[in-house]
Amino acid sequence: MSIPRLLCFGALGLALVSGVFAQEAEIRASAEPSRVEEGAEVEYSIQIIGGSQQPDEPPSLPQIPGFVVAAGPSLSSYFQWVNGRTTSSRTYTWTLLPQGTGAHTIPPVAISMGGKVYHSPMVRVDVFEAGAGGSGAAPPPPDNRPPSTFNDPRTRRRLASPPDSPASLFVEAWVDKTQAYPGEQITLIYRVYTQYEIVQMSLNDQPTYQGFWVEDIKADEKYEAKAVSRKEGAFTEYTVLKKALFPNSQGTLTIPPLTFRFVIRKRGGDPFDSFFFNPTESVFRSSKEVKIQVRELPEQGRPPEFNGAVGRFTLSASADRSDTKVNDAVGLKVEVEGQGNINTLGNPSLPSLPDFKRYDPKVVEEMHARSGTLVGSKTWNYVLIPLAPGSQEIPPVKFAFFDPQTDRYEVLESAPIQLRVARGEAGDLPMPSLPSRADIPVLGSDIRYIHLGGEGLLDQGKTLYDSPMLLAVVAVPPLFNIALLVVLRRREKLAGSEAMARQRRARKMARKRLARAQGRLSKERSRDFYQELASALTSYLADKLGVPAAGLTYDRIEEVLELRGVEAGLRGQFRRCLETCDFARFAPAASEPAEMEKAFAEAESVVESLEGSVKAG
Amino acid sequence: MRRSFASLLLVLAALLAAPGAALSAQEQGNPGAESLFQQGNEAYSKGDFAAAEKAYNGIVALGIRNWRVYYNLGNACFRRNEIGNAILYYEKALRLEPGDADARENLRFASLRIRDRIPPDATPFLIALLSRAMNLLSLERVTQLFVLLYLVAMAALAAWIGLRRTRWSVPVASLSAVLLLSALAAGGWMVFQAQTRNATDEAIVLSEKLEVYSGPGSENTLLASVHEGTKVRIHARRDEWTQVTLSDGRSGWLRGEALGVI
Repeated sequence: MSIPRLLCFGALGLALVSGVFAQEAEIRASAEPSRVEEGAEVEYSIQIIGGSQQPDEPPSLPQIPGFVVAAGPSLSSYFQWVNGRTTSSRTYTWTLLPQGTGAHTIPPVAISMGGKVYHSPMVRVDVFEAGAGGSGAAPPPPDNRPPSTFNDPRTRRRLASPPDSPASLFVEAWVDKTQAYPGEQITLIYRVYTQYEIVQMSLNDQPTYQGFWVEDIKADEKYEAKAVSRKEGAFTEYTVLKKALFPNSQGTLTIPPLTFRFVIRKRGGDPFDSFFFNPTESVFRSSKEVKIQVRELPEQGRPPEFNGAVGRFTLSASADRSDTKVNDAVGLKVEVEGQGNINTLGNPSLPSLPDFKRYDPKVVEEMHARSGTLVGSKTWNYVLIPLAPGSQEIPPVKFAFFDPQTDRYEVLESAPIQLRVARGEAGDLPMPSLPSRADIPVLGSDIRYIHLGGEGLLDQGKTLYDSPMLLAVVAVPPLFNIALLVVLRRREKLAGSEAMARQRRARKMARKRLARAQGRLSKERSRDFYQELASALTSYLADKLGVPAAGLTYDRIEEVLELRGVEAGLRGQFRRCLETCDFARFAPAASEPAEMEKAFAEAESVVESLEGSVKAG
Repeated sequence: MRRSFASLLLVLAALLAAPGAALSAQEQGNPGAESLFQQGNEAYSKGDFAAAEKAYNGIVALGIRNWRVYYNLGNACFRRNEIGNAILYYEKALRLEPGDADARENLRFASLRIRDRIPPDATPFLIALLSRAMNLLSLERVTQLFVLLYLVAMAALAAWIGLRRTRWSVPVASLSAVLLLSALAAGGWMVFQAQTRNATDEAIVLSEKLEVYSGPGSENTLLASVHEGTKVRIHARRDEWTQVTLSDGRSGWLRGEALGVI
């Protein structure tokens, strides 16, 4: 079982216990009095009889033609229980002020109760001109109650008699113009004309002006009295309210009636009577509604800087200093002064300042009325931080407005401002704040564009891969390499066999040379002998080792022999042998044959020893 | 000995220069094709995509296969709302220039319009990476790379032959070995690229809807219907019927005339 249903049953049980059953409600409506003078008040009540439920919300009166609602509703309720039957009634009461004479009807008022909508009956009220009739009623009893109790319906009933002539007291709403541009000032003045003494005056409700920006020009409590004579007679005029209205929409705008409550004292004919009785009474008066035609601002000649300002203004711009440093703040003050609605002035268009960091301005407004017109000034205080040194110029600030008096747009331009910006200290290099980053938004997607270059449009179906060239490129180098290898090997083979032959012949050649040396073994030819002997030794070595004989110095011989694994003793023997030969060859005295024999034998033995110990290369 | 080494270098230089000259001779395009290409581009930029398509097709009719022609042709077809043809030409362009980002992007964009769902690519990451690396260079460039590496390796080998009995023998031999291995790798890459380029086993469905039957003939069971732009793999042909594998692995027969072989 759902919760609403449970609640429903609970409510039913409660109703059974208390013995109260839902009854059809009866709605009655009445106006008291039904015949009334213009300017007097009418009490209109709606009574709900029976019915166990309250209205869902207090009934609200529709717009009633010929009446202004002065107060209400107030509620009084009544409850009776007799023999198990309950009778209840609720009464809602309003105070209405008739407007204009004739037969007025108060239309049915809808009241919704427990989901049902009831309608009150129609009520007729006859309004006749003040003093024309019905004034034979008894004069109202004196009422010294303070007006604050006015809303009490019981009090009001006693007041509800036609008290005065509306022609003797009225309120006028006056405007200085009925045609205006949006944002143009309309001065609205409420004036009270009276032939009575006004003891107290108050506004019945706060006025609302739809479609207007409203500024109070003067809201004193002390009103100046002025004696005026109108066609209806001599009056005292009080200017009670002064307002500046600025339309903010186009078309026909309505200033609605404003209802005032007055406590007046009639000056009776009998001074004694008036002195002692001081009869005061409370009356309501409404101003008539006023229509204002709001024209459109002309399109023609509208400058791009126009921001909705209407009126007449002057512009000035100034910097608080002309010398500054990088990162040192400079105040830029832009001031617009003049008549018009200062509050709604948009920001002036500041030129773009790439070399400055700009903060949002601090705005100061000042407004006052001067001879009925609102004048004032609005100041924008910008803080600029220079980011680059040098001579900087702040270009003119522009401000556009529409002058309704000349029907033209005006553009104001301030003088440019020169600033000398010195280089800041090394520490305060410009540090512009980094912009916050966001993804580049995707605005659309499409295929990429065609390729445009048409040069070298080669056929990729017939590339190098497909050409026989590739085969040649792949095949030729190995063939070349093979050929190279063959040629080189053959040449090496040839060179190798030559060396071998030399090696093989080395001993034989050595013997031949030794024999030739032996032939010169005599004292006279000792030099030849030694030369031949040395030549035999080195040639043998060159042939045996396959090296050229020309470069064989002692050291080289030593090196070569060591490389071929000849032991040190034999190497020394060989060397000594050669040294002996060389020494003897260049010695001044000829050698003895015995020495020569010895050298010969040694050389022979060295050759024989080497033959056995030198390894083939 | 020195004289022979100089002559060796000369021969090597000649060997290296010859393919270079051959390559530069090949770079020259066909003047007729170039003017057709310009005509097509002008028509395309004016929004006359039919005329552009006609001009580009004229180049294809000349027997010239060029990826830029196929790419532009794909764009012209896309603009004419021939999604199947657009995809076919983008695929052809990518066959010839697998590394082109524009063609790849446009293929992806055009593929969004295919009605058949394409299963996500299930290629293992390393293989995909390798395949992407393989596609970085076109066949032409890989071939050039191969030729270059091969010739340098051969030159190094020749140098080793000359120097094998000296103390340079070992370094030159290792250098030749490295170069030979590189040339071998490039050769493998080249053959792979050529195989991919010349493959004719993939096709794009060109008609709006194509029925797939269980056998060659409409009397067979209807297995599926594929839509314009979908890629299928061709297995066999029999008269006007073609056996294909769909992207989900199912195999069937369809009328081959509505297939565009990539």
